This record gives sequence, C-alpha cells and structure tokens, in this order.
Amino acid sequence: MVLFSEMFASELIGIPVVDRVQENIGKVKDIIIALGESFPKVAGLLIITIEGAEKVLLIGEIDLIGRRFVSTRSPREQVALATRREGEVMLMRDIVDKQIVDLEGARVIRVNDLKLAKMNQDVRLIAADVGTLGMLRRLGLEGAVNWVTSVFHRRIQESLIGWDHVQWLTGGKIAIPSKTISDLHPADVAQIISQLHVDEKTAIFSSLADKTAAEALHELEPMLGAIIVSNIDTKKALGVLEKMPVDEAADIIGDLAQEKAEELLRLMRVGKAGKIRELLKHHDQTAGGLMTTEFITFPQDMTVEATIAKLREIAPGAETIYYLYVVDDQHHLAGILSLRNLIVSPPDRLISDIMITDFVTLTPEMKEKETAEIFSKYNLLAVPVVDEEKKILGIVTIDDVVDYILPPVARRKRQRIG
Amino acid sequence: MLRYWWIRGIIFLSVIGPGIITGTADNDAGGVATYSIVGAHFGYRMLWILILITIMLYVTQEMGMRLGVVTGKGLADLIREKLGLKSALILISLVFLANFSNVLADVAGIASVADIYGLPRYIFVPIFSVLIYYIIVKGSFNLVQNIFLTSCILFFGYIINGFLARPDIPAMVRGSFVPYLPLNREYIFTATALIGTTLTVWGQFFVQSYFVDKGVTKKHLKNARLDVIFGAIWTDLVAYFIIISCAATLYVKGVRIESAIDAARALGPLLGDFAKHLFAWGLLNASILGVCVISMGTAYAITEVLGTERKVNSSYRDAPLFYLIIGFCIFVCTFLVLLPQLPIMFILVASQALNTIILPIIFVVILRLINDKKMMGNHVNSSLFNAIAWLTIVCFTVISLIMLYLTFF
Repeated sequence: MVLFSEMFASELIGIPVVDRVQENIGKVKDIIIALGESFPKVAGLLIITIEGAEKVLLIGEIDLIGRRFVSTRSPREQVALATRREGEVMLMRDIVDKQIVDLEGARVIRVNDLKLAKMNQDVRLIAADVGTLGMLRRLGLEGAVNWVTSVFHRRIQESLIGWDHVQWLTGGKIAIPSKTISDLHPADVAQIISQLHVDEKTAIFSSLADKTAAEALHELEPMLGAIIVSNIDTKKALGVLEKMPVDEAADIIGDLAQEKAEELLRLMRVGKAGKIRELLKHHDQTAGGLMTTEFITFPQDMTVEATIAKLREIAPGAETIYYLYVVDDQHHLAGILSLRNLIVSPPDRLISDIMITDFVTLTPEMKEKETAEIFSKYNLLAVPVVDEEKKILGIVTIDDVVDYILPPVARRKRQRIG
Repeated sequence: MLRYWWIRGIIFLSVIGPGIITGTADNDAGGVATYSIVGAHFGYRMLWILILITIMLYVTQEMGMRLGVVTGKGLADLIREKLGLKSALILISLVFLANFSNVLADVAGIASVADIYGLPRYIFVPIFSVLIYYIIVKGSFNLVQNIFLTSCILFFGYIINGFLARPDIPAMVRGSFVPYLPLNREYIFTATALIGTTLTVWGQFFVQSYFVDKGVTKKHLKNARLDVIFGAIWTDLVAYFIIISCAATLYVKGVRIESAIDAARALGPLLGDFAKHLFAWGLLNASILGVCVISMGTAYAITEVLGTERKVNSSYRDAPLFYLIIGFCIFVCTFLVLLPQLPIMFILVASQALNTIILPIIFVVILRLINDKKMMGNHVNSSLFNAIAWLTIVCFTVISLIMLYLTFF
C-alpha cells in the first residue's frame, strides 16, 4: 500500500478508483477511519461503483493512493467490496465542517480540511487544517490564490493542528475518550468549556478528574459554573465540590436553585456543609462573601519548633499557609505570623514574641472594591476577616480579589445576562 | 407559586430581548416606508394581512429560536454542517447581498431625516455611523442590548401618532378582520411588499445567533417563546398604528407618497408639527436600529460559515472579522448614500426582491434542520407547526413569484 506523499482528505474525494490495468471501478466518496489511537488509521474508502452502489473498499485491497487515482491490487473481478456498516466514522461526513476543540489554542474551531500521511505501514489522519488555505483548497481556488500571492512574494500560512492535540466532539458526546483535556491547565479547560454548547460542557466536565474539574469550575464565571453543576450527576458534583476550597464551593452553591443546593449540602460531609452554610449567610460582594473559613490558627504559647511540626501535620490539606494566625484562648486574633518569620526564627522562641501585632483586618460587611484596594495598598497575599470582638471569622486570599481587579478570561468569553 | 413570581420575572428578563429586538428591527426604514404607503394608498383595507403576518413571523422566528437554543449554534453554523462549505458560501454570499442593500436603505433613512430638518447630510450621516460602530465595538453585550431594547420602546412614538390621527374606528375594525383582495396590480404589489418587509432573511440569522450568544438554555424555552410572541405582536402593533395614522390622514385627503419622509412631510400640515416630528424621529430610530441589527446579523452569518470566533461580547482583538464585517457594512453604505445621484428607490426594490427570492430557500433549510431528530431530539416540530410552516413557505413563495413578475413585467 503506497500513499503518494502527504495528502488532504478533500483531494481524495471524487477521484477515480481503478484496478491494476486501469479498468474503472468507481469514484471515492468518503474516507473511513478506525478510532482508538491518537492518529486514527484509515480503514478504507467509501466508493460509488460504476453501477451506482455505495461500497466500502478496505485498505488492504488498495495498492496505491495517488493524487489522480486510487488503484487496487487485484483485477476488477476479484476486488472484494464490503457493504457499509452503521456507526462508521467518515472524514467528510462526520468531521470536516464540524467543530473540534483545539487543545493547544484552548479554543473551539471549525475544520476546513484534514491531512493524511503515511506512518510506517498505515495511512493515518495526522492533522486538522483550520486555516484559509484549507478553505480555498475545498473551493478549488488554492492554485489561483497561491499564484496571485506569489506575485507579491507572499504565501498564505498553513494552519494545521496535530490530531493528537484535538478533541473531536459529536452531539454532546466526546467521540474520542482521551485523557488530553485533563492534562491542560484548568484555566485553559475553563476557556474551552465556556465556548461549548451546554451538552458538550457537561460531557467534557464529567470526563475530567475531580481535582481538575474543581479548579476549572473556579475559573468559570459563577453563573456558568452553576449551570454545569446542576446538569452533571449528583455523585460527580459532590466529588468536585469535595475537592474545592470551602469559599469557592460556597460561591457555586450560592448560585444554584434552592432545592439543588439543599440536596448537595445534605449529601456533603457534615463539617464542610456547615462551613458552607455559614459562608452563604454573607452577601456575595462583601469580604464575608469572599472569605474562606479554611485557615490555620495557633495558640500564643507555642514554640517555633512545635508550630513547624504542627504545620507539617496539617498543611497538606490547607489552602493558604503564607500566614499563620495566632489567637488567644477566647479565639481573638492576637497577631499574624508569616511563614518566613517562622522559618528564620530560633526553634525555642515563642510565637507570641515574633508575631506581628499591627496587622490589617477586614470586616465581613466590607465591599469587594474596598477589600481589593486593601490588598493592593498593603501588597498582601491574605487578610483576616474579624467580627466586632476581633474574633477571627475567616480569611480572604489574593486569588479571590484578583478576579475582581482583572476578570478571568473565561468570564469575558460568553456572558449570560441575569 | 406566587411567592416566586418575582424570581420568575427575573428569569423571564434574563431571556428577553432577541425576539423583541429582531421583530422591532423588521420595522426599519423600508418597513416604515411600506406601512406609510399601505395606509396612504389603501386606507384600512390591508390591516387584515397584518394578522397573518404576525402568525408567520412568530412561527418562523420561533423555529430559529428553538434551533439556536437546542443546538447552541447559529443558523449559518448549521447550514455549513449540513450542506458543506461550498453551498454554504454560495448561500451566504446571497444573504450578504440582500442584507447589504437593507443596510443601505437604512442609512438612506438616516439621511432623509437630515433632509427633512434641512441639516447637511455630509455631517449628519457620518456622525451617526461612527457613533453606531463605536457602540457596537466598545459596548458590552448588555449595553448593546439595552440600547436596542430602549430603541424598541421608542417605537411608541408611532402609536401616539395613531391616536393623534383619530382613525375611523368602524372602518378600522372592518379592515382588520374582513379579508379584501382585489385583483389589481398596485394592491397586490403593495401587499407583497408588506409581507416581504416583515419576514426577512437577516432576521432568521440574527434571532438564532443572538439567542445562542445570550446563552439561553433549554430550561428557558418557555420564556424564550414568550419573548418571540411579544416580539411578533409588538412588531405588528407598531406597523398597525403607522398604517392607521396614514390612513386616517393621507388616505382621506388622497395624498400620494413615495417614502416615509414624504409621509412625515405630509403629516405636518394635517396633524400639526408634533406628529411630523414623531414620525421623523421614529424613522431615525428605526433606521439606526436597522443598521445595527442587520450589520450584526450579517457578521454573525459570515463568521459562522468561515468558522472563526464571533461574539458581541468579545473584544475587537478576539473577533476581528466580526467587527470588520460590521464596519464594512456601515461605512461603505454611508459612503454610497452620500454619493449624489444614488438610485435609492431602485436599491430598495432590489433589496426587497432579493429578500423574497432567498427567504423560501432559507425556510426550507430551517425546516430540514428543525425536523432532524438526531440533532433536535424531542424538540422537533409538531405536525401542526410543520403544517403552518409549510403553509407559510408556500404562501411566501407564491407571493414572491407574483412580486417578481409584477416588478419586471
């Protein structure tokens, strides 16, 4: 089986199929591929025979695929033609002109053409052409336009995306179950999700690992996140919420319909659900609504050494450990200790001696804007929220206010009006 | 359930817009001109056709809405997936021609408002073109939509005019419910223009893409349907009042008019200057909305077929082609309108004719798409809906053939 160099799918369509002695058998109508590998194999050609029937010419029967014709190994009478089966994937019918997810550019884009190439003994689909050149080729204008541009010594750039960087979607299902999307940065995943239709959003989201899904969910605009969570099955939703910090989970749950929110809170771990309920009492656009209740407090009379030991024990599960909060026995905030201070101090010092006592705090009612201003004024990574009695309620971290200062990319993409 | 009435109100507001905006924009400069002529030349006798138009408009716009909400794709997206690149491009080129001539007519509408107040066109029209483009490019999705909705409300001016004109109520009621179809050339020609100005090619593309861009989901189909119903009724209510205000004044006096601005001029002496201003400002508003919506609809259609990114809500950098097409439509039309000796009447008639030729093709494609079980699941048309839709197409096709015949022979 020989492939004449690299070819595009559209170049194959309509060319004649002949046998060894150039006897005409029919015309190529479409190309059938076998899924399952990152570069899918071409399994055969759908041809229209001279009698007008649609038949499948399997790849094993083919001797040469050229630019002008396809030839078979055996003479015409002996060529075995198979009948079409349901569920075959065809390039022109199922992929060209449809949308795919380009994992490199984190975007959803339409396929203009597909590139085939020979790899070892097989012909495989290696790339999607999403550029102008592919479109011109389909319209039969490639030569003309290239001639015109060559006069000006310019060339239109090819824009190909390797098929291993593509996720092909069909009707709300992910056609190629691959791990690739999960390998992306959550922000990119969010950007892709925001460009898809609801059913596809749900499909992609359900296929992600809980941790990735949780991070991507935080990157999405809240309303969109809520829509996705109400569409995926409850078990998955719980898994994802479990992996989210309390404040982010509260943001999502706060945007859900009453019954759905209740159902999820009932099924969650009691401790976490309690914290979320606590946070939901605060107004959305205030420090209370932004804060998380996951922070680490230490009593004043601990030594540096003991503190570090305790940190090692609890830190892996904590969201933020840049600052440690030192409290007295009534849980009033007495001081703040940066991780740096702790590490450079002698092991036997008490933490009450090295903590900072003039620190900035927020009140739960403080508006989002003021909160963000405090962060930028003092260049802080996290600020504690305290009540009137100076009891610590939670902390607001920089990543919660960054979104206020600079909206996340995925949020700008497709805005819902609510 | 009453406890939640306000929540439901908010949900309704969150899907409101596309249907109303598309419908209202159907009453653009060409529309207002047609309604004025209908009222001035035939009195109340064509009002019954408006009821038919309302039904047709609802049926066609609702199908567009449903396609958009269920598939999450615009009409041009679906056409490319269904028909392939070549056919889609040919169809879209025709759509572009039809839309472009529509935008041209609307820019000419802005120019004629300048004329009525004796303001220089060369300053008046470019100011508005730049302003429109600036708002579309710089404005957020919400801002653009709120401006559109405000513009829709401004059409009230025409309704006030209808009351000022003191129509002859018995004749009005008779005209609304008793079909009257004389076989004379002028009546039939005007009647076809009346239908052709409300059901539009760009409207089909725009309504679907706009629902998609707005992110309305299947859960809100009911509310989206209400939006489309409101849109259809509001559109034809405005049309109704334009017709009766011209019927009660110009028709009674036997005034013949050529355009909307003629109507405004003629209304002045009969109803006073207030009516004239209402009519002129209404025309300005209608033209501006038309320019915005039609150029945006065109940009949606082309970028969808080419498969590039497009969204009102993305910046210029993210969707350059989208904004380039809008800019092209607005500024080339502005330039053309400012040329002396532009045969504007010919362009108007040509754009109407083009619209009536392409629309049946688009309707057939829409019906094929909406009855595709694999894509639409249980949201395919009911048999009643299909019957009405086919009836609309057949009516429309017959009408457009008659219209073409009358235009050229």
